[in-house]
Amino acid sequence: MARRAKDGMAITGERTASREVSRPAPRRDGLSEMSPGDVDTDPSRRPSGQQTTDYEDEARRQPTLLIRRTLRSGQRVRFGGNVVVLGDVNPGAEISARGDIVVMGWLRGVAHAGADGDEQAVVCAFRINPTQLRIAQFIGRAPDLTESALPDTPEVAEIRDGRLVIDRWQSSGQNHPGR
Amino acid sequence: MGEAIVITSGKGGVGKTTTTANIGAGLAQAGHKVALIDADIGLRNLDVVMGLENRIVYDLVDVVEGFAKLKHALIKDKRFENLYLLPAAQTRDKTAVSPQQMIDLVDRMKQEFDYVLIDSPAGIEQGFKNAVAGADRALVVATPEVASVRDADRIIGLLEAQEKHNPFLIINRIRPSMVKKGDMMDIDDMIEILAIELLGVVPDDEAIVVSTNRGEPAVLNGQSRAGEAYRNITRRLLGENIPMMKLEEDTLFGKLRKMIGFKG
Repeated sequence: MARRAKDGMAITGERTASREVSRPAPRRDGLSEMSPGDVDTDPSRRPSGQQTTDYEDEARRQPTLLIRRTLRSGQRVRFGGNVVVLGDVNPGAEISARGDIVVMGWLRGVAHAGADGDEQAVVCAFRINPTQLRIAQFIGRAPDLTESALPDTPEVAEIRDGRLVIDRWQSSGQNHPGR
Repeated sequence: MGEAIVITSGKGGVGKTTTTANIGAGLAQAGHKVALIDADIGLRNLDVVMGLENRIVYDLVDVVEGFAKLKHALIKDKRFENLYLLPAAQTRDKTAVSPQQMIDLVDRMKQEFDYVLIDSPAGIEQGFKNAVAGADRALVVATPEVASVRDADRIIGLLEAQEKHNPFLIINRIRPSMVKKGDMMDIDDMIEILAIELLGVVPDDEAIVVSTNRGEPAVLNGQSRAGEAYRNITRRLLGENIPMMKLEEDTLFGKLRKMIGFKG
């Protein structure tokens, strides 16, 4: 499952968007004809004549690393693609990804998305309270001495108007209509 | 040309990092230009105790490997303009740096700073050797426990073998009431074994736990007994002649008990 599926379409097959894709993206033609069960990325089993999005190709261009554990202090992940963590990222742990970073848990360590300079990259986590956040060349750090209440909600960090901002996660890609 | 001082102990958990942070802040408060080096690669803590963890971008290993410039890796303290921290790498280990590289690094830093304090890791292996390599002087931290004194003695021997003579002793976490009852080694017992010059005695103080967790050195806290002890240690390090802090009033009963050697 570790594939880049930009706005959940690969999973739901919903008729959400071929709208305003700003970066060159694979053709998604034919997707609207598919029912959820039809998503099949194995070309050999693909019925001839039926148009299917080539997720294999997309996955090659945007590989994703799935980490099914908590990253602890001193553990560092560097990856030339997206990184998904099924667990927490503790203080002292570091993730550096060329693409996006998704943490299905607490992000308390250091995360660097778009490490090669991609300002479109995002960091999302169930709870974001990082030591430091970096996207492309932008760096944000946790405020000093705050026990201030964190929003008890999933959030996303991104570059908006030249600033690194953390915002509540909105469903179905509303955070990034351009992606 | 500044002076490089390593803070070491052999045993872990006796207060090397706390001592480094407090003496560093004390020296900076006295107007000196100070750099702290966290030599505990892989288990860094000094950044947390200084409350600077969230500012780290480059670290000691990045500098040694030439990946980052020293001035980019140094983090300016949030309280003092003249206090800097060179953090350790957390995702590497002690073998990432060699003693010769540490000597070169510390020599470079001594050009710029009046004092370079090096926080040594526990142990006597490569991390210790790295930390000690570039130092001109050593401060040995020990707590009033047999194990800690034993390790401190070993460390002093190793320092002498490396031609680092005349280290100073800091006795940390002493509890006057326990010493009085004879339940804890007292200062004289420790000096008798270690036979090095005593720079100061720091009483056990709950405020230290609070201050290290908050990232605010206790030396800046006028209320803290340990902070006062660290202020005195800093001044002695600068050559002032400050009498040892009186830990607790001696009672006649206590003296008597000591005289007849009553233990426990």
